[in-house]
Amino acid sequence: MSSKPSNDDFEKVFSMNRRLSNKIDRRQFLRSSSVGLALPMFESGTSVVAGDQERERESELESLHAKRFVCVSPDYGVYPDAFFPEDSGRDYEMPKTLKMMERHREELTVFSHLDHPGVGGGHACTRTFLNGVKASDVDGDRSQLRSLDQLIARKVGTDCRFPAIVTGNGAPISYTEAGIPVPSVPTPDRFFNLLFVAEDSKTKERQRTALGDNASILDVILEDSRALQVDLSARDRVKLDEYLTAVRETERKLLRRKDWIDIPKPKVKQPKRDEDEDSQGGYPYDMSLFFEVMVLALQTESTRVLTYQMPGGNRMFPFEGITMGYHTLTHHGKDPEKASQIQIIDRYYLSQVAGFIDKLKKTTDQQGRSLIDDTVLLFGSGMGNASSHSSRDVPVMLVGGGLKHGAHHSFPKDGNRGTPLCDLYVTLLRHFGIETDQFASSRGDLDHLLT
Amino acid sequence: MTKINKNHVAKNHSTNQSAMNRLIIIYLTLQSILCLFASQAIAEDSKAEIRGFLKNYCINCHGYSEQNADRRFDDLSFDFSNTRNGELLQEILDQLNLGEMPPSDEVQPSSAETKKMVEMLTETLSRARNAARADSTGKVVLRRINRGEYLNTVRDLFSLNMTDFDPTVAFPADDLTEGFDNVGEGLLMSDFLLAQYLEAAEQVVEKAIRPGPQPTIQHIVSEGDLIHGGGHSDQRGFKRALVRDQFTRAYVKRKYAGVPHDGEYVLRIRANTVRWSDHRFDVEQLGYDPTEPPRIRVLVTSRTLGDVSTRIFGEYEIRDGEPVELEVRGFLQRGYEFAVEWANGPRGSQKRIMRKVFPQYLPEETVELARNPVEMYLGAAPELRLHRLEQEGPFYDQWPLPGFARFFGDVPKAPTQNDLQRCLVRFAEVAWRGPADEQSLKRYLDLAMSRYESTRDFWQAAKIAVRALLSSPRFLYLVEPEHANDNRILNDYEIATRLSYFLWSSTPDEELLGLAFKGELAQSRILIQQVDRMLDDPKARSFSENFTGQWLQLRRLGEMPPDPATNQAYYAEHLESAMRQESLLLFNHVLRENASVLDFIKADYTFINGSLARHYGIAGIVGNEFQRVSLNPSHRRGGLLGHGSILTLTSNGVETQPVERGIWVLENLLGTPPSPPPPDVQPIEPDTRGVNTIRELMAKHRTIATCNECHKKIDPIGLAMEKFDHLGRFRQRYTTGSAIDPSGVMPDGSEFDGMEGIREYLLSRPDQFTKCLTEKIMIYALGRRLAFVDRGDIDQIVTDAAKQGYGLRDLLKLIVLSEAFKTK
Repeated sequence: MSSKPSNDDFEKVFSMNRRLSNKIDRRQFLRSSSVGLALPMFESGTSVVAGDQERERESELESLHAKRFVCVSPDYGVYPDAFFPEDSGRDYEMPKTLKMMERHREELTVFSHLDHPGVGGGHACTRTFLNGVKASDVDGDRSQLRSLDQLIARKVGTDCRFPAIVTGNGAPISYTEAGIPVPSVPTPDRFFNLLFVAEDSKTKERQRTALGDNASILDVILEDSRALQVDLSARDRVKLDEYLTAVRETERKLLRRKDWIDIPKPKVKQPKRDEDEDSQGGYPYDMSLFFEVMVLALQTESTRVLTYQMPGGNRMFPFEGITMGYHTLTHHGKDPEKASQIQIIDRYYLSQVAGFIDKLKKTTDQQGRSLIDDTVLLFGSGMGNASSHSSRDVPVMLVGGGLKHGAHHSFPKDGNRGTPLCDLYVTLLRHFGIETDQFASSRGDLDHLLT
Repeated sequence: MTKINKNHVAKNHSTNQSAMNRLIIIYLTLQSILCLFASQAIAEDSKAEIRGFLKNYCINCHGYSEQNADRRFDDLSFDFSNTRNGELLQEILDQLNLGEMPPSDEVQPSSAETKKMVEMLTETLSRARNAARADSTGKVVLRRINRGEYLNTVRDLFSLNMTDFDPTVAFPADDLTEGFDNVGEGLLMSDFLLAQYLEAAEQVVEKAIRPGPQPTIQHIVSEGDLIHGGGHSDQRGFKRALVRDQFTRAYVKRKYAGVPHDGEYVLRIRANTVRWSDHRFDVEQLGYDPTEPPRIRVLVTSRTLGDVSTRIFGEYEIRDGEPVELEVRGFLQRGYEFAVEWANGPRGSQKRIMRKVFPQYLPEETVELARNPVEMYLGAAPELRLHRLEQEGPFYDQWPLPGFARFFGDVPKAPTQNDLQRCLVRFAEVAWRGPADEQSLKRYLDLAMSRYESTRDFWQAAKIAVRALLSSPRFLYLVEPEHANDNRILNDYEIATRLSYFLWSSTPDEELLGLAFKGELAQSRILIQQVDRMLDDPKARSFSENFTGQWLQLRRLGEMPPDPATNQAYYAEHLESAMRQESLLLFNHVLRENASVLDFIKADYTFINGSLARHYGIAGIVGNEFQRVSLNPSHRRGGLLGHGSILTLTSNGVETQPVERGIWVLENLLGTPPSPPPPDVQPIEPDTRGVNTIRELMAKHRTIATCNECHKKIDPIGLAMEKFDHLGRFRQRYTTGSAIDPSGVMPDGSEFDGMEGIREYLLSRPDQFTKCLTEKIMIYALGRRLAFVDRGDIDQIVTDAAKQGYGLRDLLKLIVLSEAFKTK
């Protein structure tokens, strides 16, 4: 890029774009005027999780590692020219879109030329962000599809009510260890209810009975499917294995639910939509609500692993200056008009993420530490340049979690080939206390850059 | 939000035109069959040519002596069971496409050589992929019933009324394989889904197993002020509403958790309006139309579940002046109730009328003084008066309910463990779609027995066992046991199951199971009879809807809806559902009349209602009812390509997408889908600055060799459809004013001129279209991908179908009689 964007440019964009800028200002105002607004009010001063001594010791050990992982991923990625900095190192200039993160520069790392080798283009590449492989390429072995967030959840999430939560309406990027897409909690309301709204005693009683009944049912169907396997062809047996895994997993989860059914859900105040946004409702305005509930979820230790899938689609964003659908804009074909419109959307996305980081910084966990200190936020997408739906050079940004930040790392390109994004994932897995040398297509790690 | 339940089911004026369509000649030449066979093997001369190219331009640096970048091609083998070989070839192709190899300081191949090599490598790789894929198919992979099939299955097992009852509402969506959601290999199972199955089974069992005496009929009458809601109280024995809004919705009781039992209920209403048209206010301002008769709307709703549970049951005319008595009867699930509101009274909030309308009719000072303007407006404005609401029920045609009686009809007053066992075996044989294996059944019976022993409650024991059976692998999967990998012939029960999930998306009924029991079902004569019987059954709607929803991708309609601000008619006239209905009605017609499948291309009739006719610019059709309309060439409709549904679903709500349209035709009518970009070939970002029309834009795109490979086939078709806009309206020009050029040339030299050109192109290849449709139906019928081994069957079916005149019903029968349908 020839002209370097300045803060003034940034202001200009938003003064041209009054509706949007008002909204952001309002948010800023709300945030600063009522720091306590988003803070949950516990019923009593006691910890939510009934912790025995052993569990405490364990968590002490775990606190050596990062405790929480959040992945935020927009379906169509980010317009590359306004995201990737030109120069690398610490004193890099942030291009227009990335500029929204300026205030967090010291806590974040940007990467250029990372991607998943072997993953082709097209919309399906979006879904490979956290696992590095396409469902059509695993050749029947779905376990290759397991995603980073779920692996981390197994390590750090198991003593929370929810080991991991996937939310948002984007393409699924989170896969269980058996390689099944994890269903997403699609709306902020349902997300909030799931975490914080207690069932009445009648419902709980019904649930308890059902849990008991289902445990007996699971025993029977497990035995029956084992017997059935013998009668099946090799390929059908593999298919029925899915069912067997599901039965075992359901049994495990049932026990978990039994453990949690009598532990009250934390009491927090439900975040409300901005009044002037209420009339418009829904996407994209619900983004800030998603982020608010995410902060509450982490703060109350309801979960330690969150994946937020931001949707694509071809909706017309109700912003000043937007005249075409989102999907149409992503295929900008270097048309300056479309390219400039797509950046308006990108900046909105990034400003929301920046706001989320503000909240993570301001909010403290139950030990009084700022959430950002122990939360690794991975922002990125499996789609690089959306105009050609390419999976090369995907946007990746890493924030918080006590890692070494402040720089832009640009990797050399060997022809069409970048550095595997999975190298970063190896480092992240280690950071969460999972000793490994390998994840999907990794060829090494990025420890030297981040620790 | 309310769910609109009005199905404008069309009455099809069926005339038998199919005879004329049977005179189509088929060109299934020997040559095309030979091509199919040849396509699997990689020709030796291609191999030689590729080797030669590598030797000339690559091996210097990537051979025995030098292996730059660790790549070596001199020992390249075409054995693609080793994936590395495929990957290497792919890399070579990529480099050629990118123009990065050979490096510029080395000997360069001519552009013709490069082009030829790119084509050859692309072709070779695509064959290799097909071969590898075919290797793992050709057999049905254990099929889980999908979401829709589950719903139909429990409905038919227990004869349940599924209105407002959907136990599958939280099931995750089923993945598509080859475009269909009933293909075994793609139907996943997860603990999330299993948890949903357990939950759904519990709900189903509560609805289905209802022992004990018939519930007593309750009669609730509320009059005047006892009516809950309905607007303002009035001492004279009625409630009055001034506007049609949700706050004036009336219920039979104030605190009511809905009806206590599933069943038929009757609602009686006594209501009228006054001053419907006789008042001094401006009707424009009040926002209603007094020239139509006043109507009330009956809703079915659950106050506990809220708006999502609310649907319109019907609208009924009342009159101005004397009250009328109305009676409606409908099925209510437990927890639901009727509600009544004004369907066409003055619009909007009372507040708006009080603030904006009312003051205009009074001198200013009067308004200042008026303490309660509503009271002053009352008595002057149109109002709805509800005098009485009366709800009675539940009523049943028979008790015990048929679904209960089917399995538990003979349970005595003091049942024993033997009764329990007998009923459960009976149920298992239907639920498992055939005789139950004793060993496996025992586990479920034991569960019932142990529950019975601990509780002494017969029904609790029965319920938990039925829940277990409904969560069992033999219920959730269509099991076809197979010990060795033999291509065995299915037994009669398995054929009954295949047939039933094919044509009904549901479990086999008593008749199919009975024929299987007698061992008669596999006879061709019986199979054909059954296909006819099943297609004539209302349950066959599932086939029409599910198949067209996926073959034609009608389910995608609405995924990218047009902007409501600039496309008001689309929403006001419910065009989306009308479009879907048009395509469905054409399919149903062709199916019912056994008309030629070529009608899908060239029908000179269609089925539309008033709104769709207006949308298409076809004069003389009014009303909501769909009717058969004859088309002439000036209408520019006819066949699926003229359907608003297809033209809209291939657009993105804002503009047309010629590429999508081209691919749609290639995939769904011609059966030659363009390959997706091969893995790891990154699409090169086209630079489309400075182009004015979509045609120029696409031309620019095609200058890139990789793109051109497929787009030379896609683009001409898509561009020929440009005279139909993003909602399928005919247009002569773009909104920018520039003219539309719908001409095009296919790679084989065929020339198009507009949509009519595509029709002719398709009609000149009746065999190709029929083959495409046959393949789609086969995938759907078998629940698996097709493989090389199926080619024989498919070609035979197409040949026979052509001989019989291309009738759709005949085609289905040929498929059911085929080898593939009857083998595992």
